[in-house]
Amino acid sequence: MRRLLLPATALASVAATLMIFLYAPTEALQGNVQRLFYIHVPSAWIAYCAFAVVAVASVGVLNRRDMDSLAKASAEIGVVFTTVVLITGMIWGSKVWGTPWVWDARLTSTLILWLIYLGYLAFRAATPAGETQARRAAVIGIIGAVDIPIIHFAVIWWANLHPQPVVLNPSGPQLPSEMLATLIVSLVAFSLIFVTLLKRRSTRIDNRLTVQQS
Amino acid sequence: MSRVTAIIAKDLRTEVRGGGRFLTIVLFAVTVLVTLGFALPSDSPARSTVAAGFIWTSIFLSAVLDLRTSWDAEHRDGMLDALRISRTTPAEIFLAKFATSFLSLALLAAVTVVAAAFGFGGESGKLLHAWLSITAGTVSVVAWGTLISALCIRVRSGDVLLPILLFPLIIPATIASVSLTSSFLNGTEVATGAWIVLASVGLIAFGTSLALFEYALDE
Repeated sequence: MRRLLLPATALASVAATLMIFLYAPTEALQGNVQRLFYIHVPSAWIAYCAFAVVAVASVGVLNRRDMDSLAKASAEIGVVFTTVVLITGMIWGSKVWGTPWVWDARLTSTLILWLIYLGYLAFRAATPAGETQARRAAVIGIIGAVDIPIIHFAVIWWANLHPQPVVLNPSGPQLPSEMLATLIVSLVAFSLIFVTLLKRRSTRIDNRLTVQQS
Repeated sequence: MSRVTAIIAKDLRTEVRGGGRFLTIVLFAVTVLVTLGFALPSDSPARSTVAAGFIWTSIFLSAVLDLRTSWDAEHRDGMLDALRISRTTPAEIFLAKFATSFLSLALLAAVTVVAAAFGFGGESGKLLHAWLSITAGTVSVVAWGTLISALCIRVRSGDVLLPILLFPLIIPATIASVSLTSSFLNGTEVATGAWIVLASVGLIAFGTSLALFEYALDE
């Protein structure tokens, strides 16, 4: 299975790229800038997944399991994908809303999440590596992760400028089938990219720790 | 509970005998409020609208100072080590520290609300409601602030890390509190859902901090 991960990731990424630019129809009102949707939404999905992994790994660390490298790797990757969410959102917003940024609940909550995890990584950088750092960072990882449900429900709590969820709408997906198919393939591709990066990065962190301790 | 009240009593005695750290924090909060007042023209109609935000900025900056100086003193005087080796549990230490800091911030909020209403205008009949909305929001400030302060005691750049870690966490509660406070001060419609947000976030903050506090004291 492990040997298939990299080829599967490459294949899914190529398929997603081709579908985004050749298969998905051009949105009637927004034009080609709408194709950012197929990067923006999967990046947001990965950002949330990454922080969930941080939370789970952090709980594992507090239960004396060797999951600190997984937590750190996931936070680093999560920050990268949250940055992609914010940048693609700003580019998309510039075209669609006429402004790159508005202080609505969803955008603001994503920015908060980004700041929480930058703070998490800053805290790790300021403490000496070891078990104490791992446990203290785990505490921050857990309390940071409580922000995840608030982000998801922010659109429901505050009626605001950000579009209502298109896919996770209680009345069902509102996308045409070609767009939905492209989105699903993008989600699969991004998920595989996340798993690949997570595996490689956590292994690298483990190896570095082993070298430092020897 | 007797150990909790003993720690609270110790902290209050230290405060009374210690030369007025609380009064210094109050002075800081008022200074911040005055400084923020210069961010707007003297005749700006926005003064009353932004007063709630100014109050919060003042409270948060003061809370960070208060938490940091409180924990620094405990660490420097060896009180934290003494508590750790005594039979006091981490949960008891957290409850005592939370109570002391919450009381301090509640008093600070009262002073700041009155000062802001005086300086920026506001409905005097609703000052109590405004104070309640701010005090409800400070539950999450104090809960998470107490936890993160303990985590940052022996950390390089802990002074800077405390606000970096704390401010993003408390923003959802801040939004709700500022909305309520602004409504009370300006006599506009109150979003009752904001009380639910405050209660929820406050409970989450208190519960998670209480559960995780023992790891903050780990060496």
